[in-house]
Amino acid sequence: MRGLATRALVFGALGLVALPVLFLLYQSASLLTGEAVAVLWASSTWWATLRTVVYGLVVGVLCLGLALPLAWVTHCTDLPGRRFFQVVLNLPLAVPSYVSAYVVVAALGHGGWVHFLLEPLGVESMPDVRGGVGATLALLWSYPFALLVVQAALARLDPRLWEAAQSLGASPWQAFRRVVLPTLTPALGAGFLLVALYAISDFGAVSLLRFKTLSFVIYQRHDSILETYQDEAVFLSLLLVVIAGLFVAGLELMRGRVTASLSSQAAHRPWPVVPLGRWRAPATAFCVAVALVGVGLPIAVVAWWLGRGLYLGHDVGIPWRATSISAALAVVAAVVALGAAVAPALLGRFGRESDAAAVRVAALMGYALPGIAVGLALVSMVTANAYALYQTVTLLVAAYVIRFLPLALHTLSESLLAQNRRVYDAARSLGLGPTRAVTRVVLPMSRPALWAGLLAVLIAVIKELPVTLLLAPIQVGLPGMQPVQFETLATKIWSLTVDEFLSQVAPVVLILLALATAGLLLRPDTTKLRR
Amino acid sequence: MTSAIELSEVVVRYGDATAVHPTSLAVAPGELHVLLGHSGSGKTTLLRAVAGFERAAAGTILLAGRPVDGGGTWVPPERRRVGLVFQDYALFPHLDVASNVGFGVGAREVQRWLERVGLGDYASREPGSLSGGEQQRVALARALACDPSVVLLDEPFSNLDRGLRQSLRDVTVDVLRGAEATAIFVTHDAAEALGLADRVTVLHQGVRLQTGTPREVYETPTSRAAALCVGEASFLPRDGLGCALGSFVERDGSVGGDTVMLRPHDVVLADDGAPARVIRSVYVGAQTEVTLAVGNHEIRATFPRPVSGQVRVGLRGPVATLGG
Repeated sequence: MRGLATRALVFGALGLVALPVLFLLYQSASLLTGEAVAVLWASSTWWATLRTVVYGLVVGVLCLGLALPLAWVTHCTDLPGRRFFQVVLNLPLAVPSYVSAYVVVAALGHGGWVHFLLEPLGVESMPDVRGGVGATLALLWSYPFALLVVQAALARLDPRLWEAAQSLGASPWQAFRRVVLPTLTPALGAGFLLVALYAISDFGAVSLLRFKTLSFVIYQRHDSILETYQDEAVFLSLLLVVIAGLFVAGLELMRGRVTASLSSQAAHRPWPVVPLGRWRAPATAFCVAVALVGVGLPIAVVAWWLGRGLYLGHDVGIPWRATSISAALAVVAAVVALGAAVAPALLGRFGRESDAAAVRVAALMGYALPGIAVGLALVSMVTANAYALYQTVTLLVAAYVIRFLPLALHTLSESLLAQNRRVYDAARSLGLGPTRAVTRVVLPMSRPALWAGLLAVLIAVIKELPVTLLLAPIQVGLPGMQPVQFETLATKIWSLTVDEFLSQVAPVVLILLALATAGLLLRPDTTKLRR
Repeated sequence: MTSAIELSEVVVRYGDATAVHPTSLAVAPGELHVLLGHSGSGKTTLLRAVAGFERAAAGTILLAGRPVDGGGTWVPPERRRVGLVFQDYALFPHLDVASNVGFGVGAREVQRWLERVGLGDYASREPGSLSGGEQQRVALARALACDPSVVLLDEPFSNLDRGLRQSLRDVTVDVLRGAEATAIFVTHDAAEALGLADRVTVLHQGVRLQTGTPREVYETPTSRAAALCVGEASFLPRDGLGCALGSFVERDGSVGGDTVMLRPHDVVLADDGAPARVIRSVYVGAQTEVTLAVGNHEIRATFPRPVSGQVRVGLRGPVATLGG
């Protein structure tokens, strides 16, 4: 698998992903002489930066605090129903931040669920949940990002280390603290950074709860009619990309150590089951509580508001239009993104070292590019150079592809790692040319990987808010049909929540959660593919 | 008769590093040829060059008299008719056993090949459900079913347990002989190499040191490095027709030189021999592995019984001589 054409594919994908940053750089260079650049040393910017970083760190620490004990008890102990918990505890991944923000407001806000329950007790008003506290609570739903990393590390951790520590007289707690924890440190670092990155890139929760991190400030500036403000948004976006880039650099540093610290041969043996003893009940209660809050609470809150809306005679119909537009967009974008990612991912696995490195960089850049930055860059790009494209479905799909190509690449590459590199050589030696070796062996073998990649992008597009918000057309229609108002599940939830139509949001949230959860449950477990 | 495989002055480079220095080699039709060497010796690289997965930087490769690499020719792997067997089997996980064996272009008589490797009832099994030894037998059947002009085996038994390795080695040799296949077999295990080869090529750091029958490479190596690749060896300086263990007779086929090479079984206990001090004596069942100090030389020997303290030792028969 070599040759100019295939390598052009790899670098084409890399270039596509880099496009938004390159345009932001180009545009800020042309704006350097203007007055907008002053925003970089305005005190409001420094406060927003500080809020962004602290927000990332606090959310990261809290989520890691949830993820570590959950990973340990569900992976290594005799917790009752641990297989069930291993699946269920990852389901909060289906909850986007603007939904968890809605849950926080609808549960804890003034006139919310808890207020309703406390009202008979004489509670007149509730403390305001908006701002940093609410946004932090809303992002606790992102702990599965850390949980997945720690679970994967535990699965690769050689259980003989634990047995060796015990044979040397260490108690379970000592063995955990002195052997397991130090070996897990890089994975914990990676999990922490992943959650922190998610938080600093978050737009949904901070915009709904009015917490002025960089993402939200960028959106406000961009939404303004003042041209200077819009130019300032460009500089702020670059600043956000730089901060995210620093976190990604840290993540990359951790990843090297994760691989170094874990034995690769451990996968052949299951972990010895550590008896929980008197911790059995508290550990079970902890897992049940997290599952109830992570999965049960959103559903309960939504159901309560739905019932209330129906009781009060609100218009709470099923959002057919938003559902079908979201689904259609997601399918198209996922197929295109996956199609663009297949050749680079295959080259990254079966090709040369330099191709693999290029693919890695492209996949990493995805982490460093918050949705708001991608959306803003693309809006500026087309309004300046190709206005006809602005607010078209074509541009929106292109934006999704650019935003989620790294995700497709990442998911595909991870799953392809499970495959034996030599099978390609084997097929060649059995008389197949390069193309037929790929179509008859590599691709059929990669079916679970392709499926995982497709579902990952599908869920991500359905959940994506900032890019949709910035680039969505106003109307959409098929030839020969009356155009209809354009709305997706994500934008509908966001705008209804902003306006506090909490019961009308309920059915939309329910559909979004159902779609995302179905996607998560259908996803093949790529860690199990490894032999 | 044309050689089945002929390499002349083949060089393989990875970037600036030379993995294989100019190497020439001819393998006769039906021959089982082993490339023996430690890791980094270039044996796998040479094999991959024959298969067409590495390109020779210089030299030519002929398969059945037909140029496949060098001199402006390049035949891609799929058109070389080589059968490959890998250390990690590389079976196609999405196909059952029969489809794996029948996968190759021109693959025939799938069931008969499965029976030959002793897996007649396995046609519809999934590769993942087989043991390592079974997977390797499927890989062998898959390689042979396309009627390849040569079979290349890259450390095929390294992932297997010792006992299994031996029985699988016998099956493999029987099947290859039965098919009258020409094969190159790569291994780092000297005992394995000596046990199954018609001829052995000893490689060390990308250089071919010696090619010969198992007996030749074991008993009359051409250099110290070659001697050590093929097994345990001690070296004593030569003094005319004598050495520290007394006078000796040069073994037929010795290359000659100022050094006497002793395999452990060349040294025997002898009442009229040279005095030696026992440094270490390790009982391993059928024999005892002994390290001795003779003068200021250390030599290794195998004796029928454990020894200690001072002993007297001599030579069992003719010994090999070689250059520095």
